[in-house]
Parts: sequence; C-alpha cells; structure tokens
Amino acid sequence: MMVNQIPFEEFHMLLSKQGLRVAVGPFNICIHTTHKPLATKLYMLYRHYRLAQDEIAEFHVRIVIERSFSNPLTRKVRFLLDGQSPFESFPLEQALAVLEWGINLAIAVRVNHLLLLHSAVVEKNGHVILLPAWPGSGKTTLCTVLTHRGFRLFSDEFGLMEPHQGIFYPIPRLMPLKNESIEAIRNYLPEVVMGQLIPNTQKGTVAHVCPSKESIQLSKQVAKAKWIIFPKWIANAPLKIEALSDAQAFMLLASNAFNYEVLGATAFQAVTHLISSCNSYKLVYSDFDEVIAALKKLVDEV
Amino acid sequence: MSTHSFWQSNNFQTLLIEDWGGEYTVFQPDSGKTHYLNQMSMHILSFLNQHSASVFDISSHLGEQFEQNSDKEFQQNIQKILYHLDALGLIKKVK
Amino acid sequence: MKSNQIRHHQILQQALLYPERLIGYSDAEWELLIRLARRVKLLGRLALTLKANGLWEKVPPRIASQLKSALVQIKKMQQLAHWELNRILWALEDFDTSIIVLKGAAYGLANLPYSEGRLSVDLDILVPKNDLADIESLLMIKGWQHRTLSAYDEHYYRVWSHEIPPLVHAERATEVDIHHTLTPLTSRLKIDIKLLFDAAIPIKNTRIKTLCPVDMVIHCAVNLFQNNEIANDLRDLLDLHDLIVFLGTKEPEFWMQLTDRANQLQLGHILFYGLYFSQNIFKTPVPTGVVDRLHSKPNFMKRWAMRWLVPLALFPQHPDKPMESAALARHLLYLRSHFIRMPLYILLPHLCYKTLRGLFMKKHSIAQQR
Repeated sequence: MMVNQIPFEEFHMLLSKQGLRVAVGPFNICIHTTHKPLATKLYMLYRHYRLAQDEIAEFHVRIVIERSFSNPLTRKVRFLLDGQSPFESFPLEQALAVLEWGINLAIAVRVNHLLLLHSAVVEKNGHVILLPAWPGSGKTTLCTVLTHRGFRLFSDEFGLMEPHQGIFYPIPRLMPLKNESIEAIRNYLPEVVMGQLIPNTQKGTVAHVCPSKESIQLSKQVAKAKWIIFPKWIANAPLKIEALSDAQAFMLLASNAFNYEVLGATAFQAVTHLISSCNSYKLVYSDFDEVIAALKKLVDEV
Repeated sequence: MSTHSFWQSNNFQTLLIEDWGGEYTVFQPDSGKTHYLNQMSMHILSFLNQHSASVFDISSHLGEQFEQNSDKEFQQNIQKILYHLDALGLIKKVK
Repeated sequence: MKSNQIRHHQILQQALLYPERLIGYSDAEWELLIRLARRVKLLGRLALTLKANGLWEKVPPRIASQLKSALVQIKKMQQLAHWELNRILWALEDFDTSIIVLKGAAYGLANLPYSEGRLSVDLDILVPKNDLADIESLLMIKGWQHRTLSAYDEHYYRVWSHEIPPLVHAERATEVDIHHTLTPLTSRLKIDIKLLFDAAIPIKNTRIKTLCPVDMVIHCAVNLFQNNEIANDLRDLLDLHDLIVFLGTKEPEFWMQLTDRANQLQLGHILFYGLYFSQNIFKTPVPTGVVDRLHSKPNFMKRWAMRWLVPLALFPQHPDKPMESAALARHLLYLRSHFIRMPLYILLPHLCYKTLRGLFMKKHSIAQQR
C-alpha cells in the first residue's frame, strides 16, 4: 500500500504515534513527528512511497519541537536518530530539510554492507550512469532534469553499490534543489512536483523535488554501471565531453565516497572493477537540451 | 634523513596494485589507504622490494631506466619521494 | 528494582546469554535488540555470538545487513588503531622505553575470544612516567597534535589525570591516549604502577607488551567502576566477563593469582564489584570462596545502593521511552564517579564548571551514534 492510499488523518496518526514506516530503496525508515505542518508536507511529497508498517525498519528518526534555551518564545526543531541528536536544532520552518538531511546522514554513517559512492545515479537502457559529486558539479540539478526526460532515478546523492557483484541499488529520495537551480528547474520543467521554498538553511534556499512515481515503484530493479561522468555546470559554456583517464577517475571516485575507506580492500577491488567496466568522462555543460541529447546519444552508442 | 641510509620496501607483498597504463592505484592494508603512484614512484617501490638500497643506488638505477642523468637534482627528487614513501609506511630504513 | 524486570533489558541480556533463544524473537524484538545493542556498542559482539552459535542464517535480512555493517566498521576501527600503534612505534624507533598496550587493542593482541567484534575508537597505551615528556615531544615532532583544549581541561589532564591530553596525528583521526598510571592522581587509590610494568607480557616479534592476565582483569574492573560513569558501559562489563571466562578456564592458578593481586594493589573492593555484576548479569562462573579472599569489600549500604543503580545505568535506555529512574541512577553514578576520583575541594568547583559549560555549550557528537 502506498502513502496516498491512506487518508491524511491516518497518515498523521501513524507519524505522531507508533511512527510511519516507509520503504526507501533497500531500507525502511520509521519517521516520528507530532509537528503537523511537517506531516502535511510529507503527505504530499512522500505520496508514492510504499508503507512498511509491519516490517523491520533500519532507521528510526524523529523530528521533535523544542523551545530555544536562549529565547523561550521561539520554537525549534531537532532531529533524533534512535533518540540521539547528531546536530544542533534549527528554525521550525526548516523541519523538512532537517529531516531529509538527517536521514542522509544516518545512511551515510551506518551503512557499510554496501559501498556508498557520493554520486547521483540514473538509469537508461538497463545500465546506470554515475554522476559523481565534485565541486560545482550541480549533480542534483542535472539529475532532476534527466529523470524528468526519460532517465530513471536511482539517487541524487548515493551511489549504493553491492561491492562484490557491482550491482547498484536504487534509493530514490526527495531531491533538494538549491538557490538558482530552483528557478532554473521551474522554468525548464514546469510539470515538476516541488515542495515549498525553505529559505535561510545552511545551504541557502532549498526546495525538494518529488521523484517520479515510476522511479519509486521500480526501486527494486537493480542495474550495473556502464558510464561514469563527472559533470560541471559553467554558465554559457558550450557542451564538452572528454574522456578521463582510469586512474584519475579512480582517485576522484574513491576520495569522495562516504565509506570507501571503511570497506578497505573490498572497496579497492570494487572500484577497480567498476572503473574497468565503465567509460569515464568529464562533462561541461550549461544548456539542458544539449546535455540531454548528448547523454542520450552516449547511452545509445554500443 | 641521511643520504647514507639504506631503504627497503615495507610489507610489499600485502599491497594490492592496479596498473592503469603507467599510473598506479595501490591499496595498503596496514594503513587502509589507497595511494596514487606515478611510474617513477612505483619503480622505486618495486626496486626496493628486490634490493635494499641507498639513494645513490636508486638514482643510478633509475637514471638508466628513465634515461636521465643521475645528477644532484635528480637525487634530490628521489630523496623527496623516499621521504614521502617512508611517511606513508610503504618503505622503511634498514637497520 | 532488578534488571531482569525491565523488558528491554531482558531482550538484550537474553540475546547475549542464550543466543539460541533469538530464533523465537519477533521482528519487533529483533529491531529493538539491534537498537539497544548499537547504543552500548555491542552490535559486533552480537554478530559474532550469532555466528559462533551457527545462527547467522536465521537472522532476518534487515537485521543481518546492519550487523554486517557493524562488523565492517569495527574491522576498520581496529585496523586504524593497529596502524596508529605501528606509526607510534615508527616515531619512537630510536627511543628506548616500555610501551604497554591497553584495552581494546590489547584484547586483540592477546587473541581474546570475541575481540574482533569489539568496537574501539581510541588507542590506549601506558608508558613510564619518566619517559612521558620525551615521548610526547617525539610524537609531536612527527606530526601528532593535541586537540585544542580549554585552559581548564589542560589543567585537568596535566595535574589531576592519569593520562595526558589525547594526541591525534594531523593526517589521521585516531585518538591516542597516553597513560602513565591507571587511576587519576586525585583518587584515593594509589596503584604501584611498577608492579604492572614488571609483570607485563611481551608480544612476540615486537617491542610492545600487554598487561599480564590478572592485571588485565583488574584494569578492566578499575576502568569500569573507578574511572567511568558506568552509563551505557555494558560492553565493558562484558569485556570483564569474557576475560574471566577465557583466563579462568585456561590456568588453574588464575583465581588465586587474581585475588592475591587485587589485595596487593589494594583494589579488592573494585574487583568485588566487577565479579559481582559480571556474575549477576552475565552468569560468569566465579568459584565459591573467591570473593571471601578479597581483603577489602564495599560495605552493605554501598552494595545495596550499587545493586540498584548499576544495572539501570549499564543497560541502555529504551530509545523511544527513556525512564526517569534510569536517568536518576545515571546521574547518581556520574556524581559517584567524580566523588571517588577527586577530593571534595577539587570536586565541587569541577562539577560547577562542567555544569555551566554543559548549559552553554551543548555537545552532540556523531561518533556517539555509531
């Protein structure tokens, strides 16, 4: 059963009582909050996720409201993972951003049975493209565009890889657009489902894009990687794709992963195999039409 | 670091080495680190796995390999690489 | 209130004591077990217990993947600690001193059962006090640094503590705690540290040592009941249990040596608590008469209070429903831990400082989550 198949009252009751359990890729997350405005937002943005009330959840997170110590009149939100608070409290309006950020942190610090590359991942023709994060990559923006133009979303943040088989798991989550990207995406993709603007977060203004229903429903369909593309958005730059040496791609990917070092030799072998079985490129782009066309051409070449 | 020290590789047999066509990624189980080595550093490492050697020995061997004069500047470069490899625990001084 | 009357304590305790009963656990019980075990750093131990009992295949997949993740992380932390030790020996290559490895890293070196499932974040070593200054400066030349400390903390370490401020190498993250004795200088206990150095056991093909078996047991108890605040320290009590089971069955003289040593070091009452709670919670086989051989034991009132307080603090709180009684017990034991470490004239200002700092600087660390 999906979230939008239960009435809001029931959804809200689950969130505020025993916790709402949703399946997000390979994980189940149990979310608890009594903050009704957050419940309203989640009911809209999580509508396509599958409910997992009777299953084991790996992550138990809470958003609690507290009064500020220095200013008792203002209320703040705090994120808790298993009752522990990994970071400070934030203004009330940022509840959704704090929850999403906290869940990412929980995944990043706890999951070590899989290799966690820091990368957006999209699928086309049965194989995935990795779009690793590096400064100025704009991976979330590019990922949002691609997944609304024929590519299936795996993740805008986690390249979740089974290290021995080289299989990637989809983990479609809300995609947080930042600052100028929000307007750019609104103009380019008028059909996009987006949450309210959340101004003044640590990363500026944020708005969350809902992954497509299809990518959430297909999130059990895994795939291997064929391309690793390091994107860079440069204003008005002409499109450019050039091959990247394997050793460079290796070091860029490994040095920017969440748990590469934790997995030790397993990760070294997994990345070695990944690099050998993929083509690696550097991509510079500014125009969305151009980059979609170029990537479609690339994945159709065999 | 004295130029008269003799060097040898440290736990070379445990390293996982991947050759990407003249560039190398090396996993060192002891430290858990992955290192990127160029051809020169890898040559030094594998040379020191076969012999313990001083910076002079290494320079003259590599000078032949890379067709370079084993001059003072070249030796200083080798010395720098040795210092770096020692700090990483990839080589050690022979006692 | 006894620990076995609290349902979530029971879920954790039974899993460790009688792993075969885990097969009957419901999904909800498995889930709670994992959350509790994570809180007290026992995921790795739980995973190894399941494997050792041939039960791994029966673990629900969502539980197994979390246990596997924990084992991967523990392996990494152990590798980092070993490497840190390796680099310390490299930095001290030309300096002649004695280095005794303590706690987690020592359990690994001594091949203790289950040691590969033990999460330890720091590296703890013991060195002679006379060499301390030289060692500290040699390490600092080679790239180790102290974290920035307040003047108060610096003073605390230098004047009152049994260790110097932790050192961390600029290119790595493992904290090195260098001890020169095993209890704070301010505590009423004065251990003759030379006895421990003299009895230490060299590790083959290295220049490092571990404490001898009975000293290892005593140090484990001292750490738990003298130096720590006991909250969430169930893992340390299990260390003690594992040490006793392993060593107690290995050498016939073990119990005699242990009680003699505790008496010699005047640590009988500390060992008493260790044996008492290990037996109470983990059913550790302690032969009758052992406790009677200890010269000093806590009086009836202390025992009664500790019997109520310790289990409430050792076991983790329920992650969704923390209990007030457990919070109170933890607070009382926190005060106790300071009281036994410091004379009152130091203690009261120290606690005031800690309380004030706590009010103004809420510290939350991700590391504690893991």
